[in-house]
This record gives sequence, C-alpha cells and structure tokens, in this order.
Amino acid sequence: MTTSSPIPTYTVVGHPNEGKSSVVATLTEDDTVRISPIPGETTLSREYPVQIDGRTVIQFVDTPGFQYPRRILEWFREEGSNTSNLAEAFIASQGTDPDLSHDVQLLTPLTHGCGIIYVIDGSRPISSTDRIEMEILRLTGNPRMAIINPKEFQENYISQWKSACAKAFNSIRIFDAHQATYSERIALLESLKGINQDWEAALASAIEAFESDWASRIHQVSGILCELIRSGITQAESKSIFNLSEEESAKEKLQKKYENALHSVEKECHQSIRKLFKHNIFNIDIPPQSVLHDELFTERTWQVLGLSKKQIVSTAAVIGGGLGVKIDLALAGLSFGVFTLSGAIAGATTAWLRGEKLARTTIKKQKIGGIKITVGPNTNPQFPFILIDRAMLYFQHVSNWAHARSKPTSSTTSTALQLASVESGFTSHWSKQQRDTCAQYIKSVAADAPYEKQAETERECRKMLEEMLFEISKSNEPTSKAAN
Amino acid sequence: MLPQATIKSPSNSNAPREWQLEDLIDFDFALESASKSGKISDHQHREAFLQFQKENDRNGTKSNSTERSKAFRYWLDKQRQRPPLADALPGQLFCRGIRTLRTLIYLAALLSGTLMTAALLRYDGTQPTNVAGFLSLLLGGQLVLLAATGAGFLLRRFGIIRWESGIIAPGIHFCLNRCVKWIQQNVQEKSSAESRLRMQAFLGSVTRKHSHYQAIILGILSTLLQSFGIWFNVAAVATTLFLVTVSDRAFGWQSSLNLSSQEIHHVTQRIASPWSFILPSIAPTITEIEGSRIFLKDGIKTLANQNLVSWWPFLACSLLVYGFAPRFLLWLGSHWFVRNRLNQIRFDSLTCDRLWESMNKQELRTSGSALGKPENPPPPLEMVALQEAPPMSEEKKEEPYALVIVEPELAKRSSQNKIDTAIHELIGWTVSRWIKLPDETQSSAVFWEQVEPIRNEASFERIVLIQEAFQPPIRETIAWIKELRATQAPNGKMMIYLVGRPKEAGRRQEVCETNHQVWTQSVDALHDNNLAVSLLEIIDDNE
Ligand SMILES: Nc1nc2c(ncn2[C@@H]2O[C@H](COP(=O)(O)OP(=O)(O)OP(=O)(O)O)[C@@H](O)[C@H]2O)c(=O)[nH]1
Ligand SMILES: [Mg+2]
Repeated sequence: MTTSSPIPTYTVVGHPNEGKSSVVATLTEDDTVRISPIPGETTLSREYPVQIDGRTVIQFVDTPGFQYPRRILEWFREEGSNTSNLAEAFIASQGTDPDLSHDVQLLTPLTHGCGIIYVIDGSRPISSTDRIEMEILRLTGNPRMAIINPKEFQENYISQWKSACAKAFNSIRIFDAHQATYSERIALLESLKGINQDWEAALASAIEAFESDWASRIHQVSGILCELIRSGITQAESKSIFNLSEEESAKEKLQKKYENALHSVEKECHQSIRKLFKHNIFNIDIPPQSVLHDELFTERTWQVLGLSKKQIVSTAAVIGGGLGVKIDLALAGLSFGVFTLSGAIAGATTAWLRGEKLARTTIKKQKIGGIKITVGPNTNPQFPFILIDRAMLYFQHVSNWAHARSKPTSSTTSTALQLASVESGFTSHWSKQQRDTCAQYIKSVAADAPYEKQAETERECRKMLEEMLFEISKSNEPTSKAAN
Repeated sequence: MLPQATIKSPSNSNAPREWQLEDLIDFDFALESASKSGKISDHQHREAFLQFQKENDRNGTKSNSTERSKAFRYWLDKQRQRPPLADALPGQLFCRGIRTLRTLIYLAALLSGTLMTAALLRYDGTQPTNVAGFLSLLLGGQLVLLAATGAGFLLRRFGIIRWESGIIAPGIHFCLNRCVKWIQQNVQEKSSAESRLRMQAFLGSVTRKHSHYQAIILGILSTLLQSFGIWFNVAAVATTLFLVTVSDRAFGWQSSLNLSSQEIHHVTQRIASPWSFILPSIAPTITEIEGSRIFLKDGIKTLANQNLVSWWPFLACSLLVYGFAPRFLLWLGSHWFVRNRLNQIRFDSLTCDRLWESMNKQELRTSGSALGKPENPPPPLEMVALQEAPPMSEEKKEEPYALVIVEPELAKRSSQNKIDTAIHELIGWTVSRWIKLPDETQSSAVFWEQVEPIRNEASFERIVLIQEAFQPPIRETIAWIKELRATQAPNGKMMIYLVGRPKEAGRRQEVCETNHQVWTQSVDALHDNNLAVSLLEIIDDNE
C-alpha cells in the first residue's frame, strides 16, 4: 500500500450510528457535520480538511456506515489472493449495485491508502457483525486505529472491545466524541503517528500547527478579556434633565440603560470567545445550575465569584485612588480609607464593598440650569474581577465543548454529567502577584493613565491572563468531569 | 375507558352481522393502531372476548363463540366506541365515498342512456332511424366490453393471470414503483435519515394493504361498472318505449351491398332466438323487412308506415336481452364475489394472530405486561367476569410450532427455555426449533443450509427473529429478512422481537424508543402483512 497523499488523511469508518460523524465533528471542530440519532444519516463520504492559515494540515473523511459487511467480507475472502487493493477491486466488480451505495462510498477513500479510524460504541457488547467489519478493515491493509467512543456511560464492554480490536488494529484509543477536550484531541493525533510512519513528520507539524493555533486563540481571548475590563469599569450613562420632578424616573431609566449596556458588552465578549472556538451554529447549553445563568448583578453571582474579603481589601489598596478619585469624593474617601482603617472597620467596609454592587448615581447641577444625572462607572473594586470570572467560566465551557455535541443530545446520561456546579470563580485562586498585576491594569484604565502606562499594564495583565487560560484549557478535567 | 355497561353493542341482536368492507377497513385500522401503540396485548381485548362469550351464551349461540371472525367482529364493535376509531371511522368514510360515486354513476348512466337513445331515434319525416346504427351504437360497445370481461374471467379461471391482477392494479403498482425509485434517487440522499425512514415506511404501508383489499375493491368497482350498464340500458329501453308511444318514429335499414330481405330476416331471426320461444312475434317479418328498406334516392314516401315502425319491439327486446340482462347477471356476480371474498377472509394474518392470542390468554399477570408499564388495572366488576371465563378456547387442533432464529452472541448469553416461554406467552407459538445465525467465521450459506431441510416443516411457517435492538437494521439484514420471507409459504409469518442491551445481573435494558422506531419503520417499508416488530423482555443466563 502506498501513501500517495502528502497530507495525512484518515477515513472514519464503522457501523451505522456508532458516532463516526461525531468523531469527525469533534476532531475538525466543525459543528456543521450532520449528526443524528437515526442510523443512516450520512449517505456520502465527505472530506473535512483541517486548515490552519489556509493550509490543510490533516484531513478526515466522514463515511456512511457498513450496510453489507458480510457480503463484502465474503467477496474479500474469495478474491483475496488475486489482488492487492481489495477495496478497489470490490468497487470495480460490485460498485454498480445500487444496494451497495453506502459501502462503495465507504470503501472508495480506502482505495487511496489513507489511514483508517474505526469507530465503535464501547457501551454495547461486541457482535459478529463488528468482527466482520474489523476483518474487512484488516484485509484492506491500510494503517488503522480503533476509537472506542462510549455513547453511554457504561464501561463494562470497553475491555472486551479492546481485546477484540487488538488483533486487527495498530492502535486503540478511548475517545469520547461528546466529552473530548483539546488535550484529548491532541493526544489522539499523537497516537495516530504510531499507525503510519510515513506521516509521522506531517502529523508532527500538524500537531504543532494545532498547538500554535490554540495558543493564538488564547492570546486573543486575553485581549478580549482586557477589553471587557476596560469597557466594564468605564461604562457610564448620563442625562440632563430640566424638570426636577422627573428626577426619580430618569434615574431609574438611566440605571436600566446602564445595566443593559453592560449586559451587551459582556455578551459581545462571550460571543467573540465562542467564535474563536468555532462554535458557530448552535447555542451551547450552559449547565443548568451554573452561576453563569445568573445575571451580572444578582446576589449569587457576587457571592460566588470575585475575590474573597481579604483579597479585595488588599487589591483595593493597589487600585487605590484609581477607581475612586476620578469619580467623587465620597468614594475616594472610602477607597483611600480602606488600608488605613482598623480591622473592624475594614470588615464593615468590605461588607459594603460586597453589598454595593451597583454603580452609584451622581447628580450635578448644571450651569445652564437643570441637573445632570450620571449612572456609573462602577467603582467597586470587586466588579472587574466578577467580569473576569464570568468570562473565564464561559471560556472554560466553550473551549472544552466538543463540536459533536452542539446539537441537543438524546441521551440523558451525558446531560446528567454536565450538571457541574461552580463553587467559586477563578480569580480568588490567583496569587497575590497575579491579582496585583490585574489591579495595576484596572488602576491605569480607571485613572485614565497615559497611553504608555496603560499599554504596559495591559501587556502584563494579558500575559498573566494567558497563563491562567492555558491552565484552564489544558486541564484534562473540564467542569463536567470534575463534578463526577 | 368507557363505562362498559352503557355500551350497547350491535351484536346483541341475535343475527350475527356479516363483514362489510367498511368493517374490514375499520378493523384493519383499529388493529394497526393497537399494534403500533404496543397495545396489542392489552387486557381490554381479553375483556371484549369474555363479554362476547357471555353474550353468546345468553343468546344460546354457543357453538359459534370460538370463531375468530365473529369474535373479531364483536371486538371491532367495541373498538368503534373507543377514541382512535370513534373519532374517525375510516371505513364509513370510505363507504360514504363509494355511495356518492354510485349515485353519480346512476345519474350518468341514466342521462347518457336517455340522450343517446333520443339522438338515435330522431326522425323528421325524411330519414328513419337506421336499425343497424341503433344496434351497433347502443349494443356494440357493450358487447365488446362484455367479451373482454368474459376473456378476462376465463384467463383468471384457468390461472393464466391472477384474480387480483388486472389492468388497473399493475398500472398503479408500476407508477408507485416508479415514484419510489425516483424518490430514492433524487430526494433520499439529500434528506435526513429520519425523514427518509419515515417516507419508506409510509410507502410500504400504502402498498401493503393492497393484497388484502385488491380483489374486494376490484369487485366493488366491477359492481359499479355493471350498475352503470344496467341503468344505461334501462334508460335506453325506457326512452325508446316512451318516444314510440308519444311520437311518430320510423326505422329502416339500408345497404350498398346487394343484400336480400331474406338474408336480413335470417340475421334478425338469429338475434331474436333467445326470446323466440316465448315471444316469436317480436321480430320483423320478411315483408316488414322488405318494406323498410331505404334507398336514399327514392326517399321514404313509397314505404308503408306500418313496416317502418315494425322494428321497435325487436330493438327494445335486443337492448333488454343483450344489454340489460348480461349486465344484471354480472352485477349479481360481482356482488356475490365481494360478499364471498369478505366472508372468506380468514383473519389469520400475523397481527390477527397476536390479537387472538391476547383475547384467549387468561390473565394471570399481576403487574406489568411484557411491553412495559401496566395499563390502568381493570375495575373489580370486570375481575368477576375474568373468573367466570371459560378456559382456553379452540385453536388447539394443530400446535402452532415455530422456529426461533438468534444471533450467536445472544444465544450464548440467554437460555433457550426462557425465550421459548416468553414467546409462547406473547403470541402463543410453540418453539420447536432453534437456528443460530452464522458468526464471523462462517459464511452466510451456512444459514441457508440449515434452513433447507426444514423448509416444509410446520415450524417454518412461524419464524421468530430475536434481535438486539441497538444493532441498527442495516440493508444486509433487511435483505436477508426479505429473502427468508420469500422462502416461507405465502401465509407464513415472521415476528421480529427486539431486546435491549445487556446489563449487569442478566437483565437487559429497555429497548430505547429510537431503536424501536427505526426497526418498525424499516420493517414497515417491506410492505409485508405477516411480518411485524415487537418487544421482548428476556433475562440472560450468564454474565
Ligand atoms: N452520549 C453520546 N452520544 C454520542 C456520542 N457519539 C455519538 N453519539 C450519538 O450517537 C448518534 C449517532 O451519531 P453520528 O455521529 O451521527 O453517528 P454516525 O456513525 O455518523 O451515523 P451514520 O452517519 O448514521 O452512520 C447521535 O445521536 C450522537 O449524538 C458520545 O460520545 N456520547
Ligand atoms: Mg454519520
């Protein structure tokens, strides 16, 4: 068998409805692949190239499932001695039979000597049909690997499958198309190296490309996060009114407007993160009890996310006047006071810091008459950290969300596992230094420091954020699994 | 559930009602919805059967109580009061359509008969009605059709073509097949697996019913056609009599050949032979024939009036004898044919068997049936009825032996005994043979070799395939099922029982809804009346 294509090509084959399309969707991060609980969804073979900077580094071929395994094997056994390329010979002799349309589609890519990824559902027992399929694949002589994709969380058959596959496959891996994370995908690619030496170098560079692509995504996310902080802490709405009796209703309206503006800033940030991770079509289900379901200014959000009391006091010290001075004296006094006051009063202050979630409303008399009402910016030092926590939670969710799973799943077991509850955010686990790096950036933005100063603090902050984001995405345990 | 006491069943009357087409349609509909919703082994069927027996006892018609056809008829009347059927009686709808069609046909026949005869009998004093034209226009077409019918009958009678086939049915089949092919080629590849499956199942169930109904519907169509003929002839005769009575008409004959009156007389005598024994006078005499010959250049001034009108009794009689009478006979024949066919239906299809089994099975169950959740338990009153019930009824004449086919893995895991018992409970078949499907090392021929020697055994008429539901119905399996069905006798039956995936402790999971549906639809697409999919709960032995 010759390897004709310089681009590593892997044909994903298997029984109907075992999750072939799901594996392809997850590996290529393509949520447009058609996936359905009804067998026979895929009827034509299709190539799904993975392109990085317009260059195809690896490609996967999704195929329909075997429809006539026995017939193919019997033909292979009879003609086996006469030809070296069995798949090709079979198509040449039987290809015109319309009944065999799916099998011909399936075998066609194999004639070019590409690698085979055989997908099986590890949650069901092995049957003679499966053994027939394995034998067919073995007879084609293509380099091949088996992927055990447990559709249900019943691991009892995996060992049975492993021993059955050992005879016919160069490599076996468990790969859950619905749960696979970035690192699991990379690990799968790594193990593909082993089944075909010719592609080792090509695969290595593909993996490299994947990794640098991932790094660049994370870099972009850190930028998005900094932008979010900037918009968040400078957001303000104001309005002049001349009829003083309208003051109360105007205040209320402004408050609403301010909240809506913040809401859309945050939403935009989440959208761009989602786009980066190529989730274009479907909404991702956030686990039902995730704190992300709560609005920005709800009690729970502020209890769960952000920094702890101690941390906030010291961070507020770093931010110092930054947030406060610029706005009004009352707050400035408090902000300055934080690190001078005694412990007891500090406690009271932090209570206030937690309690006063909302931006303050200020009223100024105007020279031209009437008053100017301003809502925001939010000067609470906790606020940017809450924004960061929410964005990072979203990032964690999206970056580990397998593309095969974009559609609502039928199985309830997998949703049960998604029910991960988030006890706390990420920022409270940061080191003091990390918190301070972030606080410096907040301070420079809030105080409207000179451009160079802001740029420098932003660079620092992004570097720190990237580290944290990497940690989140590399961790082999996404929230869902950690919950188990 | 309706309060049973208030149901006034029509079969309370002593005379057992006969099956009509509308009953048959309703019955099939009710049966299908019962088996689709998995209610075929519902206790309500047993209840209906017990009531049926009780009523029979009361009416003193004991001997009949075991007849399937009657019991099913009773069951149908009960079903007609229940929601799915009570809301829309498809049979009634169909029959109302037929009745409307019949009325339209009568009107058309009367109208066309009258108008055609009146046109032919037009006479303005110069041009008498041409006798040959009259006869050939009114009778000629009919006689040609009659000859075709006769030929068709003979061909069928001697088995050259089948009763069910004709011009129409194969035509419909051809078109349908064409449609299916086209859909497969053009639409299927693009549509989702789900809609594709649904489409195939739909087409399958549309074409499936035909085997059962084709003859009956053809019979009914034939009745309609014959009644057209009857009323057409009636109108023609009536119009002739009426016009002759109230107006002046003339008849004559003409020919460019040198035909003599004798020859014409000879022909008319021949035509009149059927009634010449009774009414020999109803045929024109030689003189009358001579006197009604028309030469256009001479006009009709010279011909005697009495000769010119002498033809009408002959013409009217010809219409009656050659037009009306055969149509009437054929009408009677079609009628008889339809009734006969309806009475001959043996209700031995697979679904009928399953219904019969659930009617005859004594209810010993205390909790859930094999199909899952227990239905709402019967009220105490009916429990009394259960105890009064006479034991198992007939149908024990010949043991219903069956053959079980299993995957090798499944055979390894579960015990034969338990499966046999489960099958007997569900459908009443007695398993007498087991065949294991070939595993990966054997060729598929091994299976057919095993089948060959038992093909003529009774057990081969009832095949049970035990199938793990999580294995999707791939084309190879479906093609194999088709082939197996083709080797069975025409009225052989096959059940596919789905089992769930094995769990610990030998239990199997419940078959998931999607898998059940996928299998049902794939099998529906085979349009096979004696092939069905159902669920089976078995307990594995090992592991
Ligand atoms: N829970 C769970 N479901 C899965 C997993 N992989 C696939 N599925 C489900 O299995 C079903 C079939 O998946 P597909 O990817 O369409 O399978 P396929 O092999 O491409 O099927 P055909 O194209 O019909 O041959 C879908 O309903 C998937 O959601 C998995 O890892 N976990
Ligand atoms: Mg697919």
